[in-house]
Amino acid sequence: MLYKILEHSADFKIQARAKTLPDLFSNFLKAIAEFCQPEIDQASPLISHQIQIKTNNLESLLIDFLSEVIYLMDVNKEVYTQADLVIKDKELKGEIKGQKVKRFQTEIKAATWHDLEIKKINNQWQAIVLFDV
Amino acid sequence: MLNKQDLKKINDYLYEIPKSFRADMRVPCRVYADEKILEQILKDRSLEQLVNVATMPGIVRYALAMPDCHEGYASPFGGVAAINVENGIVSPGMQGYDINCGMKLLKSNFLQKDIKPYLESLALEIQKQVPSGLGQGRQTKLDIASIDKILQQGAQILVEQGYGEKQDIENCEANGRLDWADDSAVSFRAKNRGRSQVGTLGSGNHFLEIQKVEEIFDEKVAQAFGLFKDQVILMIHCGSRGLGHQICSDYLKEFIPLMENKYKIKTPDKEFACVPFKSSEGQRALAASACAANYAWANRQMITHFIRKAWKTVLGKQASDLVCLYDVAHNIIKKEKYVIDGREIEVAVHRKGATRAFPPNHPELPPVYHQVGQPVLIPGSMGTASYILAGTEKGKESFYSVNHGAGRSMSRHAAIRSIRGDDVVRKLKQKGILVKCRSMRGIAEEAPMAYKDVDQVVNIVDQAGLAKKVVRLVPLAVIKGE
Repeated sequence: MLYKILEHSADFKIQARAKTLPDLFSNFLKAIAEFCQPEIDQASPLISHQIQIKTNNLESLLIDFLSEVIYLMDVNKEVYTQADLVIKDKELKGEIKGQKVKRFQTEIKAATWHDLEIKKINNQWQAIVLFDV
Repeated sequence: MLNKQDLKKINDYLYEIPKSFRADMRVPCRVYADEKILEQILKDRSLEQLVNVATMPGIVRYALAMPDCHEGYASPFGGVAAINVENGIVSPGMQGYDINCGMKLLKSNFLQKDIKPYLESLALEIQKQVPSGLGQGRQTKLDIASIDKILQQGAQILVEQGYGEKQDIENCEANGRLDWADDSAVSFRAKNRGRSQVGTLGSGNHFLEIQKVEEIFDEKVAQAFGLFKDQVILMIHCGSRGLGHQICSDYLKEFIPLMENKYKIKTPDKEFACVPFKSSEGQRALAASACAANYAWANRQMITHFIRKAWKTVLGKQASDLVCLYDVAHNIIKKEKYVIDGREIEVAVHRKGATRAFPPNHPELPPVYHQVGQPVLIPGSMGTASYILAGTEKGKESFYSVNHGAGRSMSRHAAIRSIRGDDVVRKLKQKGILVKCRSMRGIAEEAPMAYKDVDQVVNIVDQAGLAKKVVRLVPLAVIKGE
């Protein structure tokens, strides 16, 4: 399981799991992409963006990463489905890759801090994020 | 989770969670609901979130929930909190990411029978003219200087530039501009997101509807509002788009460490991230929030311009004016004055999914509504009724606030699993309602079955006396942008 949708009255609540933190972050990328149902511009080449984020804790790192993705999707009309990330000492470096989009069926407004959780359980990372949609 | 036993019934439309329910509550909570709606509200964590609101520094009288209340983040949707500006906080999360999400309503002189032959082409033309912003759209990208003007001057600058009428500004909350806006408090990222989204609807529950006045409850007020039976109406529901979302995200990120380390404020949920209202950081957040509110009023103004264009294109010479009845926010922080315990104080009313409803003679209302009160615009769920109410003096008990819609009763996820978008379209078609929307999933998510019954919800507000019903509107066409 890369991620699953949890029940919430109004918004989009995701629980993702992965063996490593970079994979965990990438799984959220996939959840966002699938939620927004992009109509990909097939003529578009593969696009990549360098990302570098440094924070004081893992929670902030995850929200800042997701906020960056939401921002880039919104201003560039792009969807990102792959990530090549290195996460060390609450610092993230790497790139996200994707394609131009003709249209999204829906959009994500923001990654919220409500019920935010990121922890390691039995050698596996798990995080829960509620997105305002 | 709260149980019904945790609430005390005040009357048939009002319940209270006493201050003693949880040790950290500063005030009691009050919930406007009847028994049936209360049972629906108790199914999610709305009231737990409302109890959290009651713990916020500076909150006065009550943490309030409207009958459309449902679970959100930080404050529930349908939540209202008045915070004393002298000793209280400002919390962006208590107004939500879509700052100044709200309603604008345009009146025509047409009767339903007159519009019927043009309805399909009108709905298509409006859909073409008003993009969702999720596709290629109009491809207009404003420069940052133009965005700054909108952030400072709101809908007023667009009307000055010819995108509307003087009356659009007169009949708009705050005349379409909060004067404490300061564009220097807004990040480049937020402005950049706003560049291509002026005049776009967004997704989710945002929509345009062509409606008709189906029932009149108060002839005198309806007449003062210029409403009559079978009249064709256009309703707009949208907000501040990516610019507002980014401003809220930016300030949450800044406020969480400030709240924890500098101001030592403890909240039950980080999403309440807040600082003292009068602090320099608080004032900057308020100025940024006002920018987003101004952007949203400009957005609805530009949409109005494009609707008028579509209206004229389809109806030609016979097209009468589309007159703005009112424009009102339902996600906003506003400074308002109230007498509390015999003393007038200024409060920052945080409305999250709650509509302001000022009474007759309120100084902030345009003269045309002084006798009858503010038009209160309440949309229903897709394909169901919407309402126009009028503010009342009794509304003071809820800081002149009412619901903002029907309120969800089913999650989007559950709606997608159990409802098919094409079934919804077919059923609405059988009722004579056109649906112009590209996303079948979007239709399933917003299906009427996923919401509370708007008639019941509005009845509670009416019976509680917070506002009185004036007319009931039903849709002829539901439009979600291209």
